[in-house]
Amino acid sequence: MNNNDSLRAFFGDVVRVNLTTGAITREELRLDAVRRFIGGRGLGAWYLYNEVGPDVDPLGPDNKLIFMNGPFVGTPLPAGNKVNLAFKSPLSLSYSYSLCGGHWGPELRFTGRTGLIIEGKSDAPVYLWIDDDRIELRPAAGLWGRTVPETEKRLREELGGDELVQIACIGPAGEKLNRMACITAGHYREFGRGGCGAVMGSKNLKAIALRGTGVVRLHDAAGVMELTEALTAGLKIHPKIIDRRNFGTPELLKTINDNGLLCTRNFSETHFEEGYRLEGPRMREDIVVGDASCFACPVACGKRSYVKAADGRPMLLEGPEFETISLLGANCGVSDWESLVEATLVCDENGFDTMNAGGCVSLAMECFEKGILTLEDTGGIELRFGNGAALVAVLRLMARREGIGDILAGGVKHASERFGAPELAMHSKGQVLAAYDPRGCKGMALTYATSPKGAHHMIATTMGPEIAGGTRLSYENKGALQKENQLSMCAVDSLGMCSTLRGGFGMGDQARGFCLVTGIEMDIDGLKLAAERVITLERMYNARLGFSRKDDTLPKRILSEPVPSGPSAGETVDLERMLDEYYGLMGWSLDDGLPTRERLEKLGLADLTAARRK
Amino acid sequence: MQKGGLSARLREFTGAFSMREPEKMLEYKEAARTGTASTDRREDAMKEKVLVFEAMRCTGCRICEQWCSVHHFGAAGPSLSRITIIRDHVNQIDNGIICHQCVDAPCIASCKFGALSKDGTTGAILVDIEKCTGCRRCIKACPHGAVRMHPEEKYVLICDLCGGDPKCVRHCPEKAVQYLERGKSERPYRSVLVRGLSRRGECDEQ
Repeated sequence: MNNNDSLRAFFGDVVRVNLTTGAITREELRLDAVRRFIGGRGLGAWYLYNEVGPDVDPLGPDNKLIFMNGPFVGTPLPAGNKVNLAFKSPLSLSYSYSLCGGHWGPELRFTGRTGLIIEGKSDAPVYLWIDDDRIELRPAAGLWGRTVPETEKRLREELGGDELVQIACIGPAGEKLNRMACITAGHYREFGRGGCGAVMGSKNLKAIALRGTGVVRLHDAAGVMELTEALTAGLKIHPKIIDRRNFGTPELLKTINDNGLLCTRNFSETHFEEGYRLEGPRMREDIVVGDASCFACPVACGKRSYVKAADGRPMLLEGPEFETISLLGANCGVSDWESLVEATLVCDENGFDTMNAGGCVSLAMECFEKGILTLEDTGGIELRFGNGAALVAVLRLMARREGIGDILAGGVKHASERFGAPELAMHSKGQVLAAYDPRGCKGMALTYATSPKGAHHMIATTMGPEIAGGTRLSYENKGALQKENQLSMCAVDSLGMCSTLRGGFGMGDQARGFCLVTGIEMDIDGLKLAAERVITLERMYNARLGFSRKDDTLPKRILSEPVPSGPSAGETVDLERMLDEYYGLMGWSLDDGLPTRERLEKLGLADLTAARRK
Repeated sequence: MQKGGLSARLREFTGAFSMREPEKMLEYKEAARTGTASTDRREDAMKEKVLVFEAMRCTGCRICEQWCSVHHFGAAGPSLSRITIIRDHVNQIDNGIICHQCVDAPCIASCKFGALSKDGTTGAILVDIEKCTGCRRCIKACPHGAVRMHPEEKYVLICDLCGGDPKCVRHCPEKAVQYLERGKSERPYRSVLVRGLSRRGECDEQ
């Protein structure tokens, strides 16, 4: 076998499903693209750039769902489980991608393929069944309208009760084109942000079920196992990883709250006085009954929680995660587990993003407190900060798209304009800010503002080094920190591993792992170059849509309203200054924030220069 | 063993050790004929180590499946693994399907082709892939669901204990799979069960 044959055997093919015509075709993965963009997020961006043009309506038949696995997915390397979904977002109206952990991505790999591309629109509800190489679309009339757990249960029964079948589906939110709808895999792992669930709903596709009996053929199996063993040993004694294991992502809450950067009451404050009730150790003590892992991950940061609702109903779920606790909890002023867990379950079962949902409810709460919304608008719900029952009630309205919930389901930007209070919507490009208030951590301002998919934290998690280094309020070198972090995140997203492990599974080992599984030579510089190429390509996708420096912005509250109290009291954000430094380092023009011709050529993206508007 | 009578027992011991120790096999054949083998063999079995799985510890990472498949086939894939983890999403429990190394192995008794035997050292079930026809009788006979078809070949996969150093045990980050003497095999399960029940009990009373 020559190198290309063995690479093809390793990656498998790409399946293309046209829902309009019902045509299902298998095509070869473009190996030249793998060499340039690695996989996962990188390949997704490349396919989307080539196949979904600037005039495509995000909820029309021409938008595509491009699922791409990274080369680590399905291998024994720690946490090789993240499958990337690239699509044009109905929420931010821009390029978007979303990564999902759990077991669905690896299963796609075991069906014998790296990627799956969904295009067109079906006349009637259908689901896709991929049983190794037997691939078919089947009617989903009996599933339509069902919640995520119901859909999984019924579909599994229909497929013969095989518990090992991995199912990704949308809930009622996706069907109703809620612009923050997710695609949920295995009940509690989501392609979360950006509204990909609405894209799937617009295509009348209810679910994608997978059963794979294939294998991932490693280039150097002994080498991979040796590296896996060494990395696992290191992860077991890594202090940050131990925290993550013990308390899940909520381990962050104390640090973020104590340093004054936790979103509180629609970002009107940055320290939540009741936050101590939501800290990781407290959560473990109060509600956690077990730990859960994604595929091949020795950390098991997933927390299984059990709470009884106010009316005695038992609630058992995986979660809530840190961002959920922050945006549905602190940002709505809610601090009791009963309300929070129920709110999370409403989102999970109906299939919409807890983060955007939290930002929408907090917007409505602020509007209600300010008298912009009345009891009549809310349908009699006393929508004040801290009212957990009201939070749950509004989320249920959002799930059903009734009353005020219908407006909120259009996304925070849309809702704030309808309420006549656009300045109260805490978003960038329509996507709600994550939990970290950039006034208490300047680097996150750059992350939110320059993210191609709207204010998303996983573009570059600079808050870690900023807090650890005591530089969170400084503007010095934040552009450089942003760039470095962004490259590292993009590398793991493209390789298909979970960013949680970056601390103990660094770029050197990632490059080595890539080489061991694929046989393609790789080093740290090569990974960084590929990552920068991906980020630049994503930037160019948005440039083609007309996005530029003017869109790299943040809510007025973040830029000009000083934090009223707490550890970050008096702080605002001077964004422009940081943008200049960052653009300079990325080789992007200071005028319009778009990649210069020279940089495109240097990155081997000369073919994109035509898309650069003069 | 009671049901099958002498002929079934003979078949079992004819199979036993045949792959590695032909002399011992003859010894056991003779012992079986004179009626002493059953006891000896069962006593030996109590000293053997067995796989023990506890759902209360398992987080569902499936690292065990990866090591199992790569160790035996050099490629990663759960369908080539002799250990399988199944997640029950509704009850949030991950459960493992493993070979329990039964003393009187129903899989061996059920085989009509003499394809299954016990390893004389470890007590693991050995599959003679030349003799196995893929008839699937042993799959139905196994009370633990631990026998599976090879996804592409016409023979079954049964845990071979990696020759006495099971990779799933060595690499399980949670110690959810352990390798213990048969006489002590119930202990971790019972301890964890008691702790776990008390933990969930607290929540129920709230």
